[in-house]
Amino acid sequence: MDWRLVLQSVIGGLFNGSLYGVAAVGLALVFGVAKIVNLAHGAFILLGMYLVYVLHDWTSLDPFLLAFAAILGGLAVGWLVQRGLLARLMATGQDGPLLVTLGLWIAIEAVCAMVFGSNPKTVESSLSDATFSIGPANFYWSRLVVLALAVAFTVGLHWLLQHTDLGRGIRAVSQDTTAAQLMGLSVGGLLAATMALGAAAAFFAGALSATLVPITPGAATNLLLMSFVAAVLGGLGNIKGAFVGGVLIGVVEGVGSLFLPGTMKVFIVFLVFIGFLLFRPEGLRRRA
Amino acid sequence: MTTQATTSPAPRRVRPRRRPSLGIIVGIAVLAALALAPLTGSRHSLGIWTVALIFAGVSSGWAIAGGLSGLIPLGHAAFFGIGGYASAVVFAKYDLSPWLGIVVGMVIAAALAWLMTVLAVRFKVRGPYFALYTLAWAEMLRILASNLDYLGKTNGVLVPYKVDAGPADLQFSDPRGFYLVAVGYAALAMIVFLLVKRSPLGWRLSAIRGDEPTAAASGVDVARSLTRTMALSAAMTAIGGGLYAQYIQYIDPELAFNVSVSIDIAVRAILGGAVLVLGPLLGSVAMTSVTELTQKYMDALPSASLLVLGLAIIALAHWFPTGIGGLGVRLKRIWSRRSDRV
Amino acid sequence: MSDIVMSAVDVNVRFGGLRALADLDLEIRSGEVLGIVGPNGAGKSTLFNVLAGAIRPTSGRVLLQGRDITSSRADQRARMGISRTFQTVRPFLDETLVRNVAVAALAVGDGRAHAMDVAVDLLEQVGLADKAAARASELGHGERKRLELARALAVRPRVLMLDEVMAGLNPSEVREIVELIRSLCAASGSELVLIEHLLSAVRSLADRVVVLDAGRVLADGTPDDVFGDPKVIEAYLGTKYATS
Repeated sequence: MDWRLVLQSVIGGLFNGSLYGVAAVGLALVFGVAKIVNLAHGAFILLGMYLVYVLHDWTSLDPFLLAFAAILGGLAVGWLVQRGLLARLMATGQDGPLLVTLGLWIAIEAVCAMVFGSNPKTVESSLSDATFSIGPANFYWSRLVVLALAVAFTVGLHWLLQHTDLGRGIRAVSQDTTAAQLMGLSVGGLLAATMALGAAAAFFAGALSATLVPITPGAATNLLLMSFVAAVLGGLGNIKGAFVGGVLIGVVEGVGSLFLPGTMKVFIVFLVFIGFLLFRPEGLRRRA
Repeated sequence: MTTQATTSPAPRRVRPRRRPSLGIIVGIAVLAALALAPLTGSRHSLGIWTVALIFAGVSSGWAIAGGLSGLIPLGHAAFFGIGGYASAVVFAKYDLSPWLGIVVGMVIAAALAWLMTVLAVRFKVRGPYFALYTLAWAEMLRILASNLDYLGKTNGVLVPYKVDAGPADLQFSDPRGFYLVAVGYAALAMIVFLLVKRSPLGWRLSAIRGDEPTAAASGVDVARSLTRTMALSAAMTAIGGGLYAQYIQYIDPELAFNVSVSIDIAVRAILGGAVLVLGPLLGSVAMTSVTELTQKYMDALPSASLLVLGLAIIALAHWFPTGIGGLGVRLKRIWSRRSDRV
Repeated sequence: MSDIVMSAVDVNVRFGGLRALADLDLEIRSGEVLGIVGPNGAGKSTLFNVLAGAIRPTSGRVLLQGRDITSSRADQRARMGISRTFQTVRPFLDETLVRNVAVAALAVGDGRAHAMDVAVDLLEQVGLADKAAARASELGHGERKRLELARALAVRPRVLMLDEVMAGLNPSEVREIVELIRSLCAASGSELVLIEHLLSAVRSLADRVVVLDAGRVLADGTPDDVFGDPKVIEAYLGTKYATS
């Protein structure tokens, strides 16, 4: 076995995984609190990509800087979606919210295709060509920046949930909506905040990946699927777990690519996913 | 009076009456007339409605599981694709009738669905987890198909033209031939759906959909009901996949197994009303109509139909949770209540 | 002791660190109405779930007429004649009342037409005959409880376990349902196990009362003996129900 290749695959997988992780964090948050499987999460990721593309076109600022603007965009979109489309349906306790997020997914992808066409768009960072090496393996600096920003976002979100009033409110809602209501918390507002934060994570993930992949209306599907896998691995609803799950998938993919041809590495990821759904639905966490 | 009714002499006037069959006969006549209408149209429109009807059948197949049982399978592309590949491979590689290929596809799809569901039931994968679980199976098949030489990798499998081909090869010199096959399939899928819905299995599924623990406490074998239903649903879906591959004479991993195929199948049924026999047909016709109309009037924006579809789903979730067909049922109920009063 | 219909032998149930049932033994005897009472969290519903097969006990066995049924599922037990109602009633809301009940009759092997007849009869018995064609979603709370009773009877139970059928009902509804259960006991010949917070109802219905506390049997005897037992009064009645 060529050690350079092993190092390249594992660390490369780690970098990719951090992207899956930050996307999964948003999905896990929304599921944990609002109990919604948000199929529109991929569409949010897509919006993050195109937002960075448009802003970059307009301001020529570095896309990594613009990723922070994408967070604001995500907050706004998530809040609007919850307030405008989901809030009323969640009370009925049926499949309504799932359908709405499905409709949003299809509609947003269609809008992106209508506005931007199907030709791939690319965004270049000033870091895009710079490389560094670990031992015998070479990596792009931009990948390391993605990893750092993804970790920073996740840590920031975790801090917000643990140490602020907003976070305590959101956690209260996630544990017991009725009790939170009785305690005088504004459940509607907290759910909107949750969706806003979840969408912000998606936008951020999209913004980070904008520099790495060609942007097309279908570009987010893979990231959506991977973030679902990661969120389940982390134990749906668990923020830290989701991020770790994402990183793990990235590494599994990286290692898989050493042994398997073509896209078969993704096959392994889904196999692991099904295994977890069946045998450890609580995810990576140790059983209580 | 066959039961222990001896304790209560109250007259039994509450037996739910059977609906008058006249309405059903008229309905079937209207449907048949509508089904034959495209035969007089252009070759182009005939092609569109052929595909619409194939997908109406596929979607009815989905609704057997997705509508009647309360499961939300989001991976029916797996069964659609198995049907497609089986019919294409059997015809292209072994020179056997694609009908045989379709049967092979049905068997494989049903076996896979059975295995998937046995595992899901055993390990309690339900609700949104079941949706993701089925989606993952379809993705695995997509990746597998795009990496297997036997299945032509990402190029897929071509269904060759055959000289002196006939209905046994599912190739028709007159395009109306294939259209009639599609009509037959859609009708078959709807009949199977209706038979399941009215059968003892349908009763059990309705109970499971209502509340699983209560169903189990009522003696309903949840595991067996769900595995059988998924297997049947998969087999019906596989037929449509086989017909589709034969119709476009081609199948590849994306046409067969892509997530969007799974979504498409489910959405048609949900749009029309997944617990109603006419739901998937209504949904499929509506979707095809929207696509065609937007293409006609908004030619410059090929994705406009998807936008309309997305918005329609959102609107549906808010105002008509039982789909287009559900709206009809509601109107009918209001109507019959009014006529009761007269 | 051939008159023991069903029994739990040395049953333990643990949820994580919590011990919901501890070394519990229980016998359900032929021809009796058994009341099971106890404060919240005593393990009553867990016991029902174990007997009905909804929960597999951590250890211990469940016997039906001497046969070990510990490993059979809830639906299998329902078909064996172990029927139960749920504390929180969840009928099949989209279905008509007849179908709600008929599906249970169907499951024990009745044909569809016969199952419908059985359902109609049972709905008459619980006083819902005039609503048989209505949907369950249209029922009020008390009516749903009676529908649940009819559904539980449809499997032709040998052992019928009623979990808080009187919770949330108003006094006149309670009186009605007590009457109903009385007549059912007389008519059906199935053993009746009753979990109930309403002690007056238990006292008027039960031949024997078992008091659970913290997953253990605290007392077992006739209603008069049990409710006069200082141990029971102290652990349970004294704090919560002294005045009721």
